[in-house]
Order: sequence, then structure tokens, then C-alpha cells
Amino acid sequence: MAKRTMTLNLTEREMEVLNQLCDKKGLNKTALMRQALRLYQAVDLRLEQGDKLLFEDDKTKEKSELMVL
Amino acid sequence: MKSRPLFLWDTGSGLPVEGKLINAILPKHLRDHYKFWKPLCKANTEQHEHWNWEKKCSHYSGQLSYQNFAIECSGATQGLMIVNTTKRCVIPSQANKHLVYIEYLEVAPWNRKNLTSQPRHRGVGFAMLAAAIHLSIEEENQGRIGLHSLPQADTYYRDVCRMTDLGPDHSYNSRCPLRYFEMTESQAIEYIRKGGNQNEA
Repeated sequence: MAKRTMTLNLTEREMEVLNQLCDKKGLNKTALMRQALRLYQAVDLRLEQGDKLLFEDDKTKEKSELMVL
Repeated sequence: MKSRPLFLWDTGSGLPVEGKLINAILPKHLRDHYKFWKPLCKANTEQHEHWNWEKKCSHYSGQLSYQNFAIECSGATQGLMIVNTTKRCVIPSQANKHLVYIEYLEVAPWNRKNLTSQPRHRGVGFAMLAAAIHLSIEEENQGRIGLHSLPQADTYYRDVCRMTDLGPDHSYNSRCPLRYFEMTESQAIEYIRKGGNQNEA
């Protein structure tokens, strides 16, 4: 698939978090931003369909809803 | 739409035959599945005979998380696959890192050893897993892939592909938990190096 290039303006703090996540996940910045976009689209689609985004505690099985604006 | 050449083995002649891997599932692939694959699957009670590729493609269409693949050779569709690029690893040494997760993979029934004594082409399953590994490398995931296997294919992924068997995954389907398999970077390198043993299920 053909790829296009863009410039992304981030704050110092945002860039710091981006770098931390890249280190943690072993991804470069492009790969990480592409993952983030895929996830954002997937979550947005499910929310539009009326689904909720929940996190479950693996031990207690307690569920908490993540409010997405 | 991206495509690249690949070679499968024609078991009749014993010679390699050129085909192509297409980074999409096109209407003609869906037609082939419905017209030529489906009747053979029904007749042989395969565990995935209820799969409806048209519905699956329509459901995942437009979602960046998913990519589709098809293999064409000798004028026919030989394999179909849908992968998800947002899932994460389970093996402790690579836990939480991204991988390419194979949602669905189906090889044409005339290429499967469990359905015919003389499959037409060998190497379709290998080529599909290799495509998933290559995508994983392109995505900076170092070749890591994962999948839930139908019971009929457990031995293929465990013994032929040498993937790590993490056992039945009750979170995937609690009534009939499928086994989860994952491939590490080193397993992926070994798989490509050995050519997947060119030994199809």
C-alpha cells in the first residue's frame, strides 16, 4: 500500500510519552502512531455501535468502564 | 492493491508453480470460495464449514486493524486469510508486545491432506503464515504472530509450524475453548529458514 508522509507537532511531554512507549513496545514512532490510529478507530467504531469500553481486573474480575469522550 | 509472486508445489508434476499473494480478498476470491470450496467443505464436515468469508470481509472492511490476503495459483483461489494487527503477545518473554494475529485462515479443500490423498498444491498454509510473519516484520513486530486453532489444526500449528502451544483459552470461548498458539521472533526465523517443512495439514 502506498504510504504518505506528514509532519506531526507534539509538545515536549507528548514527545516524551511517545518515546517511552516506543521503547516499551519496541516500535519506531511511525509504527506506534499507526497502532494508536488503528486502536482509536476500532474503539470509536464499537462506541458508535453502542458498545462500552470496559477493563476487567484479572484477579477480582471487577469491571470498570472507561469513559471515552 | 499490493501483490507479490510466490511458488507453490504442484504435487502432480512435482515441480514448483508460480502463483501470487494478494494483499486483499477480492470478489473473485469470494466467488471461488462459494462456488468451488464450499461444496467440498460441506461434504467433508470441516470444523470451519460455517465460515462465511463474504460476511467476514464486509464486517472488517474499512477497519485499519485488519488486513486481508489471498493466494491465487493455476487460475484458482488457493488460500484466504484475515489478520489483526492490534493484538498483543501472551508468552511471558514477549508479553504485551504487538503481534500479527491470524483471525481466519483457510486453505482450498483440494490442497488439504485430510480431505484428499493427493493435494493439488503444497505450500499454501506455509505461504500464508509466512505472509503473516513478513507483515509482522514490516510492522516492527519482529515476526511475532498468534492464532487460536480449530482442534483439527492443533497438531499442524504445534508440530509442523513449531508454534508455542499455550493451551485452551477460556477467555476466547468459554464453552468450547480453542487452543492459543504463538510464535516468537526466533521461532519465526526458524520457520522461514526451514520453509515450514513444506508440510501441509
